[in-house]
Amino acid sequence: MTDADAPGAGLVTESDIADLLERVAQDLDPAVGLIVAKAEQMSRRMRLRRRAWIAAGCGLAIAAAAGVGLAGISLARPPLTPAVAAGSHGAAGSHGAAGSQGTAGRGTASAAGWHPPGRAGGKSRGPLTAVSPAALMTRQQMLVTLRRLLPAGGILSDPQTSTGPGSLEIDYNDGKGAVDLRISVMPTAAYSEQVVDCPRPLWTDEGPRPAFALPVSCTRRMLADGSIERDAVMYADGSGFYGYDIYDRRPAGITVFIQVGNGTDHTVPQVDRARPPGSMAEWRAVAENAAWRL
Amino acid sequence: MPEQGVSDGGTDARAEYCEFATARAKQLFRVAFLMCGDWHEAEDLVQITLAKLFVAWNRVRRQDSVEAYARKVMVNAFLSQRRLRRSSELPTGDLAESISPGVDADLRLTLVAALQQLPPRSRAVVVLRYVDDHSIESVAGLMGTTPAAVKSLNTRGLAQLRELLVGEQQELFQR
Repeated sequence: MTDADAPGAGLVTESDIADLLERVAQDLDPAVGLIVAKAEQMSRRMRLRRRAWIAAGCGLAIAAAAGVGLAGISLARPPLTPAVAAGSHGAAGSHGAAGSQGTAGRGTASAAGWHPPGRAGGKSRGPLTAVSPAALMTRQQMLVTLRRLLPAGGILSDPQTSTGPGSLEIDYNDGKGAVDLRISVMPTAAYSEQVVDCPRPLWTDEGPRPAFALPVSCTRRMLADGSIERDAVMYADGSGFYGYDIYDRRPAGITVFIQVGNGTDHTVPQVDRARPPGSMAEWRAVAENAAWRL
Repeated sequence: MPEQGVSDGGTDARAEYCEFATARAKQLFRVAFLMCGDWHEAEDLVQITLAKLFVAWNRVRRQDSVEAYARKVMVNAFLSQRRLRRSSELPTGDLAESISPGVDADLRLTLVAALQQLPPRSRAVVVLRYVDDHSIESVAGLMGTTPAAVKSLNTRGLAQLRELLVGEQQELFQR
């Protein structure tokens, strides 16, 4: 018995439905050239992101990624409590990330003499060449840390579940539109030497940069504690998506990477603001915070 | 192991990819549109599909499975999005705004609205079977399930469509 003969089929047969679907499908005429062009832009971006993101886990053989979840953490979070932020951002600006906690803000070499408690007097472990996934911060630990470092009034939501230990990708909304926020805390050995270098010439945009967007830039500096930091305002991709990229390579063999976009990036980028939230200095302070650890 | 994409394979690979993408994008769009019921989301689905294909082109083309890979990526992306957005599915009454006018606009509206009332997996099966001409076994392979499960989804999907369309029968079939 075929579907067309099924009891209760009435007069609408399988063949009728197939014909209807075919008629409707044939009438659809999308802009193929545009779709193919956008797909190519998207693929280039996928490759760039993969290099930047997956590379962090290449040397680590992270096998436990699937087991690290965020069960029990509400996705739609209420704004961060002022009490938490007040203890974290005494000198913060409107965004408030700068100067985050007492253990943060190592300063540049020009501000030598200041050392973060727990790091300045401690022994450096030196570059790490191998680490167990269990030694990395879990997503939940990273989320708790991040909440402490961000200013009041922001909302963290939709953490991606595909990232492994030592990595967090989440939406952050400072009240002016949600953006993609990525953080990874990995052994420096997991990255190439070049990630803290600035290319010359600098990157060029792949697509239209939003009006009032920040210009492309890249700065490499040495901090007072010997860390090498590179902060960059990246090129815009075909969707106009760009943001801050910050690498903080620490003497203890840890590299903290933060990427803050100007829109969300779930399945496809959704750009709805000209600039990422906060300033580069504020996000540098987040990256430099001693709370990020292996 | 890193994917081997078009840029790893030289100009021949790129030309092959472009030829495939240009030739197949329209059919991919048709499948995507009837699965998701939204013009812009269908464009996104095709872009995602082609972008992933671009990244994996050299590996996929060597395995002679480009068509199957593209369909599999699209179905997975569609079902994944449905899982994420199931709490915000558009009610059928709101679909008209997202559909561009065409020769058979009423027919399209009616059919797309009916399709949207099917569960996503049933919808995917029906569209793959009747718009993309896949066999039960082929759909099972694309969706990572058994032929028996696909047959069941297909039968239920068709039955539901019949119920939904029977009231429109005269109008639909006298065109």
